[in-house]
Amino acid sequence: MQAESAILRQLQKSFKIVKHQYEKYNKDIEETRQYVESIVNLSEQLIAIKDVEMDSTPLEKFPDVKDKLSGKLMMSIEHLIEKLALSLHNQEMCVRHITQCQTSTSELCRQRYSAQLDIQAAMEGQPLRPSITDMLLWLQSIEVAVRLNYGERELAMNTVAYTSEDKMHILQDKWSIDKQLDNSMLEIMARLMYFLPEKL
Amino acid sequence: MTILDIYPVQHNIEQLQSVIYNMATKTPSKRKKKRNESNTSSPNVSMDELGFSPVSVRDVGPARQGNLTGNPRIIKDGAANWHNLIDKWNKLNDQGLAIVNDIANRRLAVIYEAKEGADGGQLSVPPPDGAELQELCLKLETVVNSMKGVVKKMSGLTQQFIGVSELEEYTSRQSGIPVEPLFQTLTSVQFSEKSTELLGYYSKEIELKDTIAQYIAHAKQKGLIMLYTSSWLHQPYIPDSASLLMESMLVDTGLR
Repeated sequence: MQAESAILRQLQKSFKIVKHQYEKYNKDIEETRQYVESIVNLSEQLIAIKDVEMDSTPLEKFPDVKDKLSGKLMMSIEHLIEKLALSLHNQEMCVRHITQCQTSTSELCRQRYSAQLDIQAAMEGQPLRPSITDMLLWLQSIEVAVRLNYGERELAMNTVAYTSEDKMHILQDKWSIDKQLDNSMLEIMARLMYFLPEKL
Repeated sequence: MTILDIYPVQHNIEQLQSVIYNMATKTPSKRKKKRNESNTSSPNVSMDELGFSPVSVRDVGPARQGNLTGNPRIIKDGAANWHNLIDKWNKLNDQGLAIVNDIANRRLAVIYEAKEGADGGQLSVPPPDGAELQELCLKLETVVNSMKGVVKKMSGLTQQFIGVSELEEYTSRQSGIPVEPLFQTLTSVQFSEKSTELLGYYSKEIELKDTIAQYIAHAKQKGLIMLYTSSWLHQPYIPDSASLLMESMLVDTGLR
């Protein structure tokens, strides 16, 4: 009984943190989305001007205009990429917090209370709360999904190339809220609606 | 400059520390007064004892306040005018950008439709609405002319700055006194150099904008249209350091 209460308390604490961190994570993505749009736009300009033949155009008397413009565009992109890197760091912090919650909860179950925990009781849910095993599983699923989601975004950032349309579109695609993950989170949080505010 | 550069003689550390302490604790006005009275450094240790020669340091205070006259007045007003002209330029650039975008979109639509027509074997290329395009071009021309006016005023200001700096240099040659900063750190020569540099950027940029205004409505390639639009927006001949130049003038004159 003591083991069950302790695990429930830990689960409640973990889910509260996960909920808060996930909201922070999504907010950060939403707030920086505009930078990605700007980067893509600047990159399109960079790609478009790259192939322009200056000879035989009215701009041939400005031979350095393409270089100067490219330099300016690159600088603007770099400036925005720096902002994205900062945002990515914040997202990493959120992921770390979520991972930490999952790790500490599993450790508590496996190492401290594994012998005392009544497996049958742990598998049974109550009217106002899901079973412990279910909640442990959800916590792990959330952690894995969020880590994966972050990893994809980090990879897109690390492999970004300003003059590659494909890479830019990957970045644009990855820098958005994952609907599937978001729906899963909403579903899980709905199931925990009565459990989270409960006084244990 | 280190303290050892100022007093490059044999000395003992205690005396030197005392000198530094007194320099740090005295207010500038008191120091100045003391210097005028005795031409020595501190009451505790005299320069003669240490074998030091007195150091004359120009009292660089905050920017000149109150009613300015003469060259400082001209330069300060000039810096303010520069700032206003750049502000005006930026507003005109925004106005022009809206028109350039409009023209570019119309041209791109024509190019795409022509391409689709060619692919599908249809003759679906509507002639561009000449009257509307003409109107947009005229509007753009007006904007560019206003920008030329701004550059002309910038040129006038630069001439004024050069005039002041030449006058100061002449006076300095006559009197043998080196040209001193007008406000805090910049001399009139440096003001004129900065002004000339800024003028160079804006003059080159207006040439580019004039070319864009003349030819954008005739562009037939997507890349070229993008190049025109992007050039108008990002102003490649005005580097980021231009704002730094402007800010340095404003800060030095005490306007910022």
